[in-house]
Amino acid sequence: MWGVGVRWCFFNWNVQQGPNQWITDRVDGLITDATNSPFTTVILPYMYMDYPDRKVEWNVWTFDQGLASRVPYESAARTLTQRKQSFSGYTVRQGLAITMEHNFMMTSQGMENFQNQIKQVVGSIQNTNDLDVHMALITAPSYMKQVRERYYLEDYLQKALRDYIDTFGFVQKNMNAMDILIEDTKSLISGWGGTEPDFLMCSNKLCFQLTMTQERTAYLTQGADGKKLLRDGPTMDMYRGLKIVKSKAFSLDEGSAPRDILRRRVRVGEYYTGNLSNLQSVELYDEDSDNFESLSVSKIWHSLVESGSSATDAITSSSCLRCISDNIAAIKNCMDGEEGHQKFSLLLLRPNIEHYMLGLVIGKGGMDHLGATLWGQTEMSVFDDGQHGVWGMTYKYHERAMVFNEVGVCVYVCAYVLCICVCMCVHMCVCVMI
Amino acid sequence: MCVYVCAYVCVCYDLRTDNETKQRNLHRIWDVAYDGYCGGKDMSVMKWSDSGVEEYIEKCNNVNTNFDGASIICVPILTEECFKSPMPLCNYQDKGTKLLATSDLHIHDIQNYASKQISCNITREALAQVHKTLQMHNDYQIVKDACEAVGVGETTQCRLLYKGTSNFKFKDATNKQTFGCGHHGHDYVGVAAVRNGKSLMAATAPHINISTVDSGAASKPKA
Repeated sequence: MWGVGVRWCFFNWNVQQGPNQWITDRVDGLITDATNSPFTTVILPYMYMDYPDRKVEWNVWTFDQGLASRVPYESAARTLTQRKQSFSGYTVRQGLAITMEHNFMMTSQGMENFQNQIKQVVGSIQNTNDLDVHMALITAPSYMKQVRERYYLEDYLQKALRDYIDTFGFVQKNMNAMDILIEDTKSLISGWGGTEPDFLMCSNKLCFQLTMTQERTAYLTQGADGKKLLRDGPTMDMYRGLKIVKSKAFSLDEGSAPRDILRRRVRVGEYYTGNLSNLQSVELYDEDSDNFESLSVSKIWHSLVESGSSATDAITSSSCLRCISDNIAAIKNCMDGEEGHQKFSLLLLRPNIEHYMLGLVIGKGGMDHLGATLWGQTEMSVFDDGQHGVWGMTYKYHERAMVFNEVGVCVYVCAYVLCICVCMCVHMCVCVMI
Repeated sequence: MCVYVCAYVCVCYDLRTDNETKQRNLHRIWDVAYDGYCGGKDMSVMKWSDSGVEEYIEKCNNVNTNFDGASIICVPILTEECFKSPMPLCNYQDKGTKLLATSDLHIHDIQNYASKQISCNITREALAQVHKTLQMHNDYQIVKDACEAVGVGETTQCRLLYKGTSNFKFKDATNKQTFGCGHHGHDYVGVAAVRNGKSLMAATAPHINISTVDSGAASKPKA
């Protein structure tokens, strides 16, 4: 079918210059049907828009469910609170092009090359849309933040800090970490009044933790199934009722390796403290050598003074902290343990301990629950460049992945395909009914 | 009603919610697994000199690449008061500064938090000096949380310092050992593999209780 179409396209080349609906439909079909990407099917599925270059707006209504309180006769009842938030966004026009030599159709290799280039366009566009879904999930408003702002409690900060410390590198700290995280999130979302989540998006490396547990790698105890499992490797499509979606790495920065959005660098800090008087050395862990190394008191002293080792040199140091420069002689006395010295504490700071860390996203995907990848106004346009002896195709389209974070059900999906007048009528009817 | 209709005319696509449902269907959990060490936990010491401070500030502010500056900052403080973990490294006088505490939670009221964590004025002043001298305030850029930083490939910086693993050795052959309690927990030889995402953290060996029962005492009649 494709080959016939290509030949037809080639032999009618002069006729096909400019926008080409036939090829556009084929490429559209390949993108939406053939790629079957979990990001644009499970999480934020494709949703076609006839006029995507206009503003997209949506409202989120929040109705808090409260408990009725006792009310005396002839007095006012407590009013329930409600909230409306409005959001808006635009789809973005994007495009890609391919070029071929004029006479590529004369050979079967040229035909094959053309077919591969079309697939390349399809793959690239799907890749772009996948990235957009990643970014939409990352930048979507966090309901957790809203909860914090609205129900901030006195001890919340301490609890949040404790939670973060406990879950920092949790997968390496606890064998059942993923189970705990998933069940914890389910419970959290349920507490918000959300729907049971159905997908878990995480880095490919994090999936190892799900597939390499002791139960799943006990090949010897599972007989023939165990041998098959060892041969094929443990796979993981579903886990605790969640579809596992592996996040992708994208080439986002010029000249650097593709980057996984759910993998990031994090700096955290530590401090070490003890008495300075009579100090000989401090042993600290060095992650470069994976061992404890000694930091001598002379090295500490030389870090405090600009040159030499005498106290008078250090006082002239302009960058030195006042708390050091004002007391440099006393610090030296304290270090040497001279009689009558002042009691200093030594504070060692390590504020930039940096590691790569992995994250995950859990949610309920789909248009009805989370959002959509809006797209439309696609156009495959054919051009001919006689001067350079090439012809090519340009594919342009509108696209934007959006998380309508708290959107429940889009009851007026029909608005996309109906005209404005119909929308007006529907809403007028609704308003009249209200 | 007229106003409503007019407003709607302006909006061609209005994705409206079902009023009956209130669904919050997305939750992000950051930093749940280690995937490699970048820097900042070696034995290099920052020098309190013009060039040393300048170099440190430059390395510290480069949040687009792995940290390769000096790891340790030495600050002698004239106090005998204990330091409480976590210790906020910030300017305690500045009311406008906010501090990233977790992956996406900021502390806005630093003064209130600091008063709970550090009661010693000398310590506070010293930390404020460190913060100011090393330009850790980052006034020229927005303090990003995980969601904002990950999109542009930047590192987030948490200025809440937790007590780390250390052993202070003194000239009189005594020592003071401290166990780490922060993000990374306790340090031990071999933990680098854990923080490279290739191993699980070693669980503490179960404590062995030894009790001795005197059989004679058990058979002895009560008085």
